[in-house]
Amino acid sequence: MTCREFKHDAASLRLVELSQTEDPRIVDHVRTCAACDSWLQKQRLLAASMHALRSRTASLEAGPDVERALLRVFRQDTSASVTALRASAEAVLSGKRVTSVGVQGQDQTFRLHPKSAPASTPFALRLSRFFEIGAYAAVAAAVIVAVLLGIHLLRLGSGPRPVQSQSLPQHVAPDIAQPSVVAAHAAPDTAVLSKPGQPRAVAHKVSPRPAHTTQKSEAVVAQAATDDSQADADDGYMALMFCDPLSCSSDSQVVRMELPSENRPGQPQAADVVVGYDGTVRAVRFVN
Amino acid sequence: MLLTDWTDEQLLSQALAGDEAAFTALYRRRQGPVFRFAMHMSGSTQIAEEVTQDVFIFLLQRGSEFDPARGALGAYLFGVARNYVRRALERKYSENMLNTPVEDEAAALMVEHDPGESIARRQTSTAVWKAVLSLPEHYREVVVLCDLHELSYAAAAEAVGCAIGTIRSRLHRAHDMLSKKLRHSAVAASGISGVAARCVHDMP
Repeated sequence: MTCREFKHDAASLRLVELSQTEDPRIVDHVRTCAACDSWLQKQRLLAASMHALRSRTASLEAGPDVERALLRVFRQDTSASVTALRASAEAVLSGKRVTSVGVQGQDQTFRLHPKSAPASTPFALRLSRFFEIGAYAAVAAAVIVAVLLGIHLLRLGSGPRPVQSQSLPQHVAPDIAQPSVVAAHAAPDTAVLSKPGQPRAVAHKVSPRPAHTTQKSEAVVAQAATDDSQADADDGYMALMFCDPLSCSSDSQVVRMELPSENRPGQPQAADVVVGYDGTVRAVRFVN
Repeated sequence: MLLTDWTDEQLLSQALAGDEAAFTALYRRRQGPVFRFAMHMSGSTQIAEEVTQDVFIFLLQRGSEFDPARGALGAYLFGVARNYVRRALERKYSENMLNTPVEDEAAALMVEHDPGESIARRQTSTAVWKAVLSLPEHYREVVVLCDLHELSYAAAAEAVGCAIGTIRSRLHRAHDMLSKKLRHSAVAASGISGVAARCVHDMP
């Protein structure tokens, strides 16, 4: 017999039965397994404690008042008593408090369990009800505020959006207007990326810039984002794709490239290309 | 044929037909287990009396719905009492009326009923009852039904309204919890008695 089988067999027995069991399989297993033996000893101890409690409370019974009250209810054979009992039963079923069932007979009114009926509402109960009402009021106020806030946000969303609302965050470096400035002053950082036979590209790392210069460039990015068909007149950049704040808010680079020109064969056209973190070209500006 | 020889179902049918003697006999036969069940579950005499009263009022009102084919009347009454106990405990807690902890009331009841018993045995029973009262309700009720009222698993399952396997697993878990609680209380008691013994020993 394994320990698992022992536990299974033990679980099928009640505590009293388990403590007195003489099942040879259980007894044999307990002799060979110290852990199960210890567990069985605990169960026997618990059974003994339960037996003590059971025998000590065996004489407890309801008081004679309960029987008297029930008999008075039973004796009521009037329609009034039936109505009251039905009402009490309905109250019980509906979850109302029925600690004291008032039964009105023909000429008397009594309670089944007078001592359980409080004379007045306890202060603690009144206090708890006060806080309960306060909690309900707070929840209602929170709901109203949430609804008003939602309406306000909907109005903001449906109205004309200000250009600045779609601008990039202050701490995010990339913008379109910046690269020309950076490229002009960051000659040591430039690197030749092109291979022979391919357009030459010079990359400029975009660096943070003062906030007062960011405002204009962010406005440009936002405008390009709201209308990707509109060419960006400022600084000569043209947005090449729709740019929402989520995808354009990360770091980007401006790459100076030399592109072949159809109008002037043999003379490449220099262009500043804004490349996003995902390698996608966001905007381009032709350099004269 | 004496009323005491009648079965519960016969007494109930006679009581519902208006036989007061049958109702009295049924009440006297079944009020003790119902009262003790409520007492073991709540630790409060007041709640136990309320529950006993409500159970038999319910029996007067809805006793005709009892189906003997589904189980014994005793288990049915335990099921009704269980619902009333739950409701009473919820009400008691919600009304914040626990000025006297139920465990203390249970301990006081022990003293009242057994003034001559040895202190150690009384402490043991009190500790067990406190441990039972501290169990979560769904564990407590299976312990009270199966261990203290010695109901079979099937009858307990009928009273609680769940499967027999659920009763077994809850009982197993409840026994483990009780063993741990009693071990902790025993350690605490031995610690307190040890301190007391040292105090006595240190006294001049």
